[in-house]
Amino acid sequence: MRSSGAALFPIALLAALAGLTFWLSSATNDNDPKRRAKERHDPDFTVENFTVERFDDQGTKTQTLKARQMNHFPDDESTEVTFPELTYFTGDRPTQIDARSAWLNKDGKEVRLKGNVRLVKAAGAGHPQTVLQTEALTVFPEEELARGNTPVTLRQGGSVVSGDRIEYRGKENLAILEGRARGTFPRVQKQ
Amino acid sequence: ERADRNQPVNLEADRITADDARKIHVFEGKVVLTQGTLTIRADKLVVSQDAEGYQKGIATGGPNGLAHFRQKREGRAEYIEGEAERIEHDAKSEKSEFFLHARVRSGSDEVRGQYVIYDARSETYLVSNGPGGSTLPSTRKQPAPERVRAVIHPKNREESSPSAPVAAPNPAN
Repeated sequence: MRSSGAALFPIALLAALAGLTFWLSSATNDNDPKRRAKERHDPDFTVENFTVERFDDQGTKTQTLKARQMNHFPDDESTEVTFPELTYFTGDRPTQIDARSAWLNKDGKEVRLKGNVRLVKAAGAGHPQTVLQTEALTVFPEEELARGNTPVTLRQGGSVVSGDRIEYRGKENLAILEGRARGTFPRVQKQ
Repeated sequence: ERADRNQPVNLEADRITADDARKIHVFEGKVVLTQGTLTIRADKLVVSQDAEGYQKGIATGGPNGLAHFRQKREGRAEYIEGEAERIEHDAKSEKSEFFLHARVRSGSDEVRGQYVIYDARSETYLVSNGPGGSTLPSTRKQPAPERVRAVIHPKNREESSPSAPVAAPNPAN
């Protein structure tokens, strides 16, 4: 059931990261037969301190990716990005995803975010800011699915819920936290 | 007690589902809600928030199928305790409604019926066959609406509880 509202966190767009690496690897692929990289896990290309911006056909910016470094590895065609900061400008509430590192498999169907992973959705009409914070999160962009089994907190306005692990289903707009699940809802002060 | 309403609402459970589309949080598995001296225990508790941010909780299930409610009386060491198949607690109106197999005790007084509404502000509770004079449909576990029963112990002057429970067959409210 496709939820009416936009997903809480548009993780589907992480697939764009894969598109970028494909473009970069094909642009630099000199398929040099002598390359030894195939046997050892050595990058075949590296990008440093870069920002990539994407625009839609009306020229409005839909997405930016800022990162310190990106390495592409030919042996398993995986990509590693350090200190990625992805920002999506979809809808009226931009979302930012950042982590210490992001690992992508070759077709970008799986993105592993590691190290102080934060998904922040800005406040918007009637919606408080939403922040999801955990240590490691595996995202399957095409299925709009994310799973993490490290302690996680989800802050929405003044309320906080936390648990030992999370499954986030973007299509149904559900964040399911399990394990020692806790919730705190602030008391509304009568104006 | 009165101070409860200025306390944050804390919940514990085995699982929490934050449903952003429907703006609710569903707590499941050994759920405990606490707000000051108020505690509600249930198998499942759905928390929704109105525009102003007031929470409403709907608790269902628990030991032998009943959700449990407990809150300390204002300025007394006594507790109001209640249980029912479903308990709806509204933080804004500070009213708790007990549906089906409802039983509410305060000290030695007890009322039973298909429906009990407890107003924490006035500390009064009202038992009947259904909200607003209606009669709750009977359920598999409760084929015929039970007659309302109230056990009220006479109290001597100084210890009398400020809220003599009212048992009304069909209150019009």
